[in-house]
Amino acid sequence: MNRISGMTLKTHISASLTVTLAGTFLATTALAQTPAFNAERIEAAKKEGALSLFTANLPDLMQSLVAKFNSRFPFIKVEVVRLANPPLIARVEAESTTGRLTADMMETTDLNDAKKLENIFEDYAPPNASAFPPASQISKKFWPMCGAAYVVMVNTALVTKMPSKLDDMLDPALKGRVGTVLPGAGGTSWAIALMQRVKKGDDWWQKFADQKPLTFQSSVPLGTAVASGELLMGFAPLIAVAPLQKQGAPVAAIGLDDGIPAAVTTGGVVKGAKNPNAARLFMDWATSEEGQNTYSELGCASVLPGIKLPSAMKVDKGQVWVPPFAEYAGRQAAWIAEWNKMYGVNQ
Amino acid sequence: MTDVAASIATQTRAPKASGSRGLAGRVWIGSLLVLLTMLVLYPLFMLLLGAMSKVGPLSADFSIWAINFERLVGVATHATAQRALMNSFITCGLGTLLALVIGLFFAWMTERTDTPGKQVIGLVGLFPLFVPPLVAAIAWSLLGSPRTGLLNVVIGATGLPFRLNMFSYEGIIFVFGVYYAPYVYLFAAAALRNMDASLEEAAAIAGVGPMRTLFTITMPVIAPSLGSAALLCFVVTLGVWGVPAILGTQAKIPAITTYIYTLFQGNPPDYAGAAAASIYLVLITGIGVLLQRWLHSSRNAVTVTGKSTRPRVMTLGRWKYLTLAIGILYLLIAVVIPMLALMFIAFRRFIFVASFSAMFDTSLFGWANFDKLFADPHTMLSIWNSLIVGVTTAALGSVLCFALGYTIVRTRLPGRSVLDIVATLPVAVPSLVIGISYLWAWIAIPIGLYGTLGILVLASLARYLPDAMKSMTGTLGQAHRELEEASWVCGTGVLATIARIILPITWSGVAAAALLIFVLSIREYGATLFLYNNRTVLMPLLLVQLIEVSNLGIVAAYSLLQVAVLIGLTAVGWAIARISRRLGTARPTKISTREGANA
Repeated sequence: MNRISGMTLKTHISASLTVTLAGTFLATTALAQTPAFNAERIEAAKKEGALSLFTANLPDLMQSLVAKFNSRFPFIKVEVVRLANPPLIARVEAESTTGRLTADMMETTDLNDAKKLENIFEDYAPPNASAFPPASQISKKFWPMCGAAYVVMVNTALVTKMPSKLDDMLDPALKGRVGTVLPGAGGTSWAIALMQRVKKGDDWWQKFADQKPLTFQSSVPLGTAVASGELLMGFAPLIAVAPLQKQGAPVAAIGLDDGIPAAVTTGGVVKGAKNPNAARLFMDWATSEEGQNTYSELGCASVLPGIKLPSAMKVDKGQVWVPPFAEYAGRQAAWIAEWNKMYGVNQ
Repeated sequence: MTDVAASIATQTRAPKASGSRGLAGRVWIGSLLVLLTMLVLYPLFMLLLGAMSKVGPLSADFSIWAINFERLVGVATHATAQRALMNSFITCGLGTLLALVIGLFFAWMTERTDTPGKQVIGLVGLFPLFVPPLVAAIAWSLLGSPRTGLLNVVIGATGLPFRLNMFSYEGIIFVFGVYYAPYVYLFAAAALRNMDASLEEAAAIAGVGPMRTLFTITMPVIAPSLGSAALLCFVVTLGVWGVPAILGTQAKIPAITTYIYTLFQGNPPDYAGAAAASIYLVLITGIGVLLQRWLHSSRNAVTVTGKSTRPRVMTLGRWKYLTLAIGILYLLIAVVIPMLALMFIAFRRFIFVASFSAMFDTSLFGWANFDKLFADPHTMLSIWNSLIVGVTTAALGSVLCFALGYTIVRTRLPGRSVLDIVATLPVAVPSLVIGISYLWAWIAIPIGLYGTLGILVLASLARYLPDAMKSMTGTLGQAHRELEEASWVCGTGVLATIARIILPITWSGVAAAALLIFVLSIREYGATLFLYNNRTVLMPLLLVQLIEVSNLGIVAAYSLLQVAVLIGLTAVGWAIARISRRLGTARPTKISTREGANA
């Protein structure tokens, strides 16, 4: 157990940064009124008529999110470019350096990466900026969008005994039949790896590595592997479960007693964007109560106070665990390298 | 241009020229050399610099003069890199061996046996060429996933105790062997067709049985051609990323190409490491290509001689049905079953198949995956972009090939052999490495090339130029000089002679070169994998992207779409080439009549 983590975590939770699952959270009422968006911005966005959105969030979620945005603002054609986080960052770096960045706005799953790319974002604040807890912000340029909570995705057609704690994943019967996303693939998968080590000790990674888990670059192929029955279960974000359930796949999301780790994706408007007003309008909407409720419906936990947690999130099972940024960023490179070596992954 | 043309004419007729014509010839050669330098040499030079750099081309610290060998040494001594290289040798080597067996069997069956329907089987046996290896790997991953693969569900229903596991060395070798067999088949069939059969006849007269003749006479005669085909197959598979990426990643079997890709896709990307690993791949491939050329051009490989007898066709009796069955089985394995698997998954709502009977639950089938696929504007954009890149690359490539081919084959201009070497150099450079070298060459130069379709065209052109050149120079070499010389005697200039004589009679070669470039440009992803963005995405590139972020149903749907578009566009391209060839061959008659009248 890492002392710094424990202390920071306590501080962090007490600051009620985000989804600390107090009962009051669940009693939040629905939106009473539709938020007003800046009329001038809407007009300017209408003139632009298009938006290029780079994201590392999941494709099904983005499709539903954009559909909801378009039901409100049908005059903006949103082009979603979805890549896993590392190639997304590489693409954005390459394009911005060569002056060919086609993104108007960008959402990354890794706060650390967002911080590194801070210079490509313009100064932007949503109309409800003051409503966001100060601790949820690491820059004035990008804002929390989707709190991706990690659960265990289980194939319910093949598994009868559901896991309830991290150690249940070490059951010898699961050897070779469990999966996980590489912690280097993005902020959310890093959060689950971090929680495992912080909560269960330095040797837990090795114990899980001995289970010979299959490793994935993204939660989508992991979800496919669980849904197909190739794997019995695997660590996956909640937002990856809902689309599979919608298709009728026999999968369930199980929150563990040890905690439900969550990492927040962040978005911002790209400096010099071709469609800056459309980008700002999308950000205005995405960070508004309306937008955050939409995220919640799609499986994201919101850091905006008053937003309901996703209905699929069994909060009584465990406590949402949001890694403190200092630890999240400070440990990332060294621990991921260690993890990769332990799991025989070349990244 | 007239001076240049006149100079080329002079140089064609006389080895030495002087004055302004000689200068014009040198300018022509120089221009082509500059073009090839930008297309081939400069990117490779930048790749080499990249491999000797500490930082990537995007870094402010990058300097082409800050040379060191850290990354080159680092990659060479990195355990994963060494394992990846060893894995590549194992999978590509054994895959080539399997391809050799399959290709040789098909060649023998179609050329030397009385197997019924052998022509059709021979033709259909080339169908795997229309199934990109990446798509093949996806299809076989669906079929041979260890527990829930569709074939394993079927095997499970029969009660048999074994299961397939395509996520393994065997799986990779199998896909390489099956899908690269047509390359061997083309070589082996040509060698069997063209070899002098007198030795076989002598053996038959001496009472040697057909099978013994096959192994003691025929095989040794065509062995150099087979060796050449095998080496080609080996170096081509060595540069393939898709197959080990799909089948080797889960099983933690890195290949040298997936290792390079991982370095590039890392966070942060290791551009210098990727360049360094690429250099080693180029060296290995280069040695393979040199060996292949040596074998191909050695005297031993000459199987085409003045034939006095036609090769004897072996009467197989009842065994001919066995060869027919084996031929059909190959087609089922290579084409039919994988396509059915893709269709099954593409039309199914989700992939979980609880039992054999559940495979036929029609309530689970629908168009949902296709609806999602076409809801994404990149799907149609990728097809449109592929068409633009394919047509542009084919048009530019055929013009460049003709210019190079004509200069190399039909003139005596000094420096033409240098052109030949530079133009064929990329054959030893795997597509993936061309992509990395173009990234190094153009990403940091602010001329607006990176991120455009233009850079995809240039990278494709550079990579596929040698393949097209082979077709072009072969055709140009076959055209006799008499026609050209007759034209000059009549006072016709070089350009007019090219337009009226050379181009019409070599039109089939030009059309073949264009078609080849077109097909390769829209089918392969290696040369463009690191160069595209969301606006310039091509079909195979979108498939790579979908693999990483989408569910298998959508991946399967897009794979089917890609194969359908590939076959459709190739058919259109083939029809255009055929029509233009007819038009081309019709022209010389009129021209010669007019020239004759003028004379």
